Amino acid sequence: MKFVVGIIVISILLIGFWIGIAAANDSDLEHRVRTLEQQVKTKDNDFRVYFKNGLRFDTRDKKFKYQIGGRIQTDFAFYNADSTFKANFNEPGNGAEFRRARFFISGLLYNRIVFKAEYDFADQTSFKNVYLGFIQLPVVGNFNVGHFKEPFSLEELTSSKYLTFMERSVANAFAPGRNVGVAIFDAVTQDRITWAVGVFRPTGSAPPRIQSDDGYNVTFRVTGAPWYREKGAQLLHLGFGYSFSTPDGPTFDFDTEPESNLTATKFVDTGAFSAEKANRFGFEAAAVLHAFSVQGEYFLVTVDRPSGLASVDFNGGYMEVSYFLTGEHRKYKKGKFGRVTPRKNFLEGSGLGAWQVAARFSSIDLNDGAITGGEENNIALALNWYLNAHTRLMFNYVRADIDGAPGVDFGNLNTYQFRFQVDF
Amino acid sequence: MKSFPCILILSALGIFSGVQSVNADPVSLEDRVKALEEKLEKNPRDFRVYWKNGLNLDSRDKQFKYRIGGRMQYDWAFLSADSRLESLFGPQNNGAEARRARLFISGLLYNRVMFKAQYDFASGSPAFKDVFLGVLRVPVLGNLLIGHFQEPFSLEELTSNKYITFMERSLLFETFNPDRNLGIAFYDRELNDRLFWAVGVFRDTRETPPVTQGGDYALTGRVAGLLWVAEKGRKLLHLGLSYSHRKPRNDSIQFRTRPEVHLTDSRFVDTGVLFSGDVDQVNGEAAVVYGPLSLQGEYSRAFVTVPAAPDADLDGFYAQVSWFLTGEHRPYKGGSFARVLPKKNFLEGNGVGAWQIAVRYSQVDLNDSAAGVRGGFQEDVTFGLNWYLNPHVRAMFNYVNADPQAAGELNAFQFRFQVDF
Repeated sequence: MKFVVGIIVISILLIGFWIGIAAANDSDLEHRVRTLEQQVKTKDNDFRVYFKNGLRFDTRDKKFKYQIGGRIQTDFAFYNADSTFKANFNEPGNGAEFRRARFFISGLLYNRIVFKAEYDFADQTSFKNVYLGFIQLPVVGNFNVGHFKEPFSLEELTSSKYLTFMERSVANAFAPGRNVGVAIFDAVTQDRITWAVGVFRPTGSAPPRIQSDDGYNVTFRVTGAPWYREKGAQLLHLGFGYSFSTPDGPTFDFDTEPESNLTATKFVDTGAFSAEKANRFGFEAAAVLHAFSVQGEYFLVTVDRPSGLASVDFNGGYMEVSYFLTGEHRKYKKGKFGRVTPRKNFLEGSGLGAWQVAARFSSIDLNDGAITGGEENNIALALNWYLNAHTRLMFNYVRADIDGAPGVDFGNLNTYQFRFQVDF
Repeated sequence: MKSFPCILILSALGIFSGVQSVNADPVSLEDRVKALEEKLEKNPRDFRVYWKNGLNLDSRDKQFKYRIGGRMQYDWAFLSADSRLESLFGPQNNGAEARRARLFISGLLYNRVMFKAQYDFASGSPAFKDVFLGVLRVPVLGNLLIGHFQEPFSLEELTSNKYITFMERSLLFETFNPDRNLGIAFYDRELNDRLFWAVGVFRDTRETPPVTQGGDYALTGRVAGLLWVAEKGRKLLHLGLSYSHRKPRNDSIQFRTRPEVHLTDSRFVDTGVLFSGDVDQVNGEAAVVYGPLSLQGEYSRAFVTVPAAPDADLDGFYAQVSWFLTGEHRPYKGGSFARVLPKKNFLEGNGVGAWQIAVRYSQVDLNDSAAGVRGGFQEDVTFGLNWYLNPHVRAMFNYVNADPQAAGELNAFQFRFQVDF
C-alpha cells in the first residue's frame, strides 16, 4: 500500500514538474524577448549619434569618432575718426561682413589618429585647422602634422569662438598664427602643465604654400596652472612662449588692424624690411576668480638684420579684465580658455543667458631705429551676451590712438562694432 | 478523499519546481528584459536619424536638430537670335551649365536658436546663399534673423528656385528684387498661419564673400496673407505687398536683367549706372490656386531720385497660368509656394509622376524720358512643361520668346534636370 502511494506521489510530482517546464517554455514571452534581443543588437562599429557641443558620431567601441560642424560670425562696424586721423588716412566706411563662416569635419580613427579639416568661406576658402595627429604616443604624448596654430600666445591659441573681445589685441601681430608644420605636445599633471614644440614653415592659409629655401619657425610654449581650485572656478595661469624664425625671403613685415576687421587697413605697419632672423618671446598670465577674470600678455621681438644694419626690437602687450554679471566663470582647459556655459539659457524659464562686461588696454610699438612702423595704444570696452553655450551677441567699443614715428600723432579712430555668433 | 489536498499540494510543488528549473537559467527572463530596457533607454541628447524631405537628425528631447542636404540643377539651352539682336548684343550661343550646385547644413540649438550655412559652388568659389543665425519666439518681436538671406520682397523671390514653375524667375526678379543681402530682420505669422509679415534692415553685399563698406542701407518689408483658403490649401487666394527704401552704395544703382535665360550674359534692357539718391520700390502680388489650376502675377515699380531731373519711374509686371495635367495642386507654405508632391511617383506601379504646363507673360519698362533714363522695354513670353518624377526630382522644359523693343528677338529652348536632397 505504501509502495503504491509512493508511486502515485512521485508520478504526480513528475507530471506537475513537466507541466511547469512546458508552461514556462510555451509562453511566447521567451520568444518575444529573444526577437527583441536580436533587433536591438548593436555592433561595435555602429555609430551612436548625439549632441554634445555639436553633432557627434561615436562608434559603440569608441574607436572611431566623427564630428561635423562650423561657425558663423556676422559683424557690423561703425567708425568715427578725429580730424588728425582723417588728415593721415581715409576714414573707414561703416561696414558689414562675415568675419568667419567655417565648416569642419573632424574625428578619431582606431582610437589613435585624430584628423580635422576646417575651412573658412568668409576669406575666399582659406585653410584653418587642417591636420592629422597621433595621440597617446609614448614619451612625446601627441604629434600633429599639417596646418594649425603655432604654440605661441594665450589669446592666439584661444579659439575665436571663446575670445572675450571681438578681435584679439593689437599685440597679436607678433603671434605667428597658423602655418604648415609638425609639433609634439602634451598636458601632464592632471592637465595642469602643458607643453608644445613644433617646426613650421610660414605658408599662410589661402591655400598654404611656400616654395623657398628660407623661412622656418621653431616655436615652443609651456604653461602651468600653479593654483587651481573649485574645478577651475578659481585659478592662476602662467605661460611662456618662444619662437625663432627666419624669413621667407630677405624681409619681415609686422602690421596689425586696429582691433576691428572691417577697416581693411593696417594703420601701424613696418612694411617689408630686410631681416635675417627673429626671436619672439611671449609672457602670459591669467587669473580667474569666479565671475572675475584678469588676463595679460607681453611680447618682445628682436630682429637681426643683415650686416651693417643695427638689430631692432619691437614690443607690445595687453591687459584685460572681465566680469560676468550673471555669475558664470571663464572655462580654462589645457592652457587656454574654452566655451562659456550660461547658468540659465535665454528664455528658458526666467533665464537671461550670461552677461559679461570687459575692458582691455593694449599697445604695440613698431618703432625702433630705422624702422618706423608706428605705435598704437587701444582701449576697448566689451559687452557680451551669451544666449546659450552656442550663441552670443557681442558689442565692442574700441578707441585706437595711432602714432607714426616717435612723437608723430596720427590721430584717433573710434569703432563701434557688433557681432552675432553661432557655432554648431 | 482526504488524499485530494495532498495531491493538489504535490502537483503544485511539482509545477513550481518545474518552472523554477527553467527560470533558473544563468540569465533570467526578468534580467534579459531589464537589459533590453536599459539598451533601449535613450539619452535625451541622442539623435534620431531619419528621412523627411532630406536627411534629418533630431535629438530625442527635440532641443537640437540638424539637417544636411543640397541641390543640383543642370541646364541645357539652345538659343536662336535674329541678326539685329546679335549685332547689338553679340552672338547668342547654345550652352550648358550647372545652374546651381549647393550644399547646406542647418539646424536648431536649444529649441531657440536656428542656423543655416548654405553655399553654392556653381560659380567656382563658394557663393554665400542662406548663411544666418536666428532666434525664435522672441517676446513681442517674433522671430529674429541675422546674416545673409533674402530680403522680404516679392512672391517669386521668396519662392525657392527648387519650387518655381519656370526655370528662371520673370524679368522683374533680376531687375527689381533685392535678393539676398547681409542684414537683420524680424518676421512672424499671425491669424492661424493666414498672415505673414517680415521687416528688415539690410546692406547691399553682392560680393563673394559678402562684405560692404560705405553708407548704404535698405529697409525692406512685406506683408502677405491668405484671403481665402479651402480644402487644406487645394484652393486659395493669396495677396501680398512689399516695400523697400534703399540708399544705393556710392549713390549709384543699375536696373537690368537677363532675358529669363541664364545661359547668356547679355542684358537686352539695362539702364546703365544711374547716379541716384534714395530709391523707393513697391511690389504687389496676387496668386490663386484652384485645384490643378493656378494663376500668379506681380507688379513692381521703382521710384529713383535722379539729381537735376524729375524722379525716374520704372516698372514691370508678369502674369502666369499653370495647370497640373495629373491633378496635383501647388502647395503653399508660410507666404510662398512650396514642394510639389506628385500623386504617384514615376514608375511606382503605373505612376507617371506629376506633369504641369504653364505660360507666362512678363514685361519691364526701363524707359523714363523725362528723367533721361533709357534702359529699354522688353516683353517675354515663356511656355513651360514640368515633369516631377517624385517630390525631389524634376525635369523642366522652357521655350522663351524674348522681345526687347526695337532690338531684335531671341528664342530660347532650355532644359533643366534637378534634384534636391
